[in-house]
Amino acid sequence: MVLMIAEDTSRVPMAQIEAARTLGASNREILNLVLLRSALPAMFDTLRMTLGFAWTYLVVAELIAANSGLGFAILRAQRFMQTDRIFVGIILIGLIGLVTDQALRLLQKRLFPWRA
Amino acid sequence: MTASVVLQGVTKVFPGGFAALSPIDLAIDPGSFVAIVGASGCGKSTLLRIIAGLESRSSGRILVDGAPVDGPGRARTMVFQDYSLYPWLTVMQNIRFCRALRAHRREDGRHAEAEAERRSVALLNLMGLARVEHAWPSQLSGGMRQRVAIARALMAKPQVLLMDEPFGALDAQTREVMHDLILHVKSAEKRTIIFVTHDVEEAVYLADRVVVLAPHPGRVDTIETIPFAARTRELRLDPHFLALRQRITERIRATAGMTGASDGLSALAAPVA
Repeated sequence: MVLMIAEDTSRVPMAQIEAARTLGASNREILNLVLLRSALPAMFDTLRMTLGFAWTYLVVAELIAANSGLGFAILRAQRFMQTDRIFVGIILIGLIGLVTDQALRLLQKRLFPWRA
Repeated sequence: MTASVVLQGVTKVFPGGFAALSPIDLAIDPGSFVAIVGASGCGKSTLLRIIAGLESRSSGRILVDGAPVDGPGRARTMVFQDYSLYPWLTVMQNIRFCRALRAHRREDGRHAEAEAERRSVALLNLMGLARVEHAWPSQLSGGMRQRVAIARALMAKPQVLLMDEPFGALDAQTREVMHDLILHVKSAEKRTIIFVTHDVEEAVYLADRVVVLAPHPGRVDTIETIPFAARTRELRLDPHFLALRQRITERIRATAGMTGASDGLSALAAPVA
């Protein structure tokens, strides 16, 4: 994620930075008023993507070693052949992933209205 | 608020020894409009970027209004070809961007806010942007975006306005409209303008003087004074205008070492056959 954020920042158009520079902006002002503002939507995209990865890893980790959580619940249901419970777990994992992603998408529209 | 620009022996050698500019001496009168043309790779953009302070120079001095300058500053604002607007700000917020900078608040004093307010509205009207005041840049056409970029650069009250192929990405019709607009800006704002372009017609139509740069390394080849008083659509068809345009185009060809177009074409055709 650090690498991805670094990539987002390096994609800020040079002309945006140089325009601020010729208008008399200091380095700190360029960072706060141009670089961060310009890279923020891309950073948010990165966050949304990495949240998907994080969610996957969390469930996988629970399947391997945990004593609570959805992954653990599925594993326990498997051990007792409770197939219905397994499917409840699977669907819940999917739903939670979908809901968080859609919530972030809505937030994105609110935060960055200029990205039509 | 207008100033002379004097270049004294300005050179640029890129790391690795590539000489982009050999000593360049140039004196630009206050309030005049100078266009810099030349073959691609002649260093015209580099020269403009050096004047803006965005690029370091290897030697020489740059005097604005008699005072040496170093590094970028609000007295020399620049209009870029594209992608310089801030997409998260509306048209009006973009124009007022410089008001958020400490350098402007400090120098302009506390009572400057009302005056800046007035000026931003005046620039909005001057550039014909009143209808799109609250629009995002992404909703505007290329020509309208460049109007915003010009207004934003003028908002800082620069002594010199630098333009780096500002209309290069626009279609021919929009470009002609922008030409008349920039002439209007020039008479209304009376600022020194240095304009880099590869379009000779544009240079002759707009400028008081056209500087032809020769490449390898970049140097001043010729300086043409443009005599036309009235700049109207008809001027583009005037025989004197066309002759001058032709002469400058020939000069650029000659400096680039292109005697005829056929040489380049035959060289291209050879490997195919």
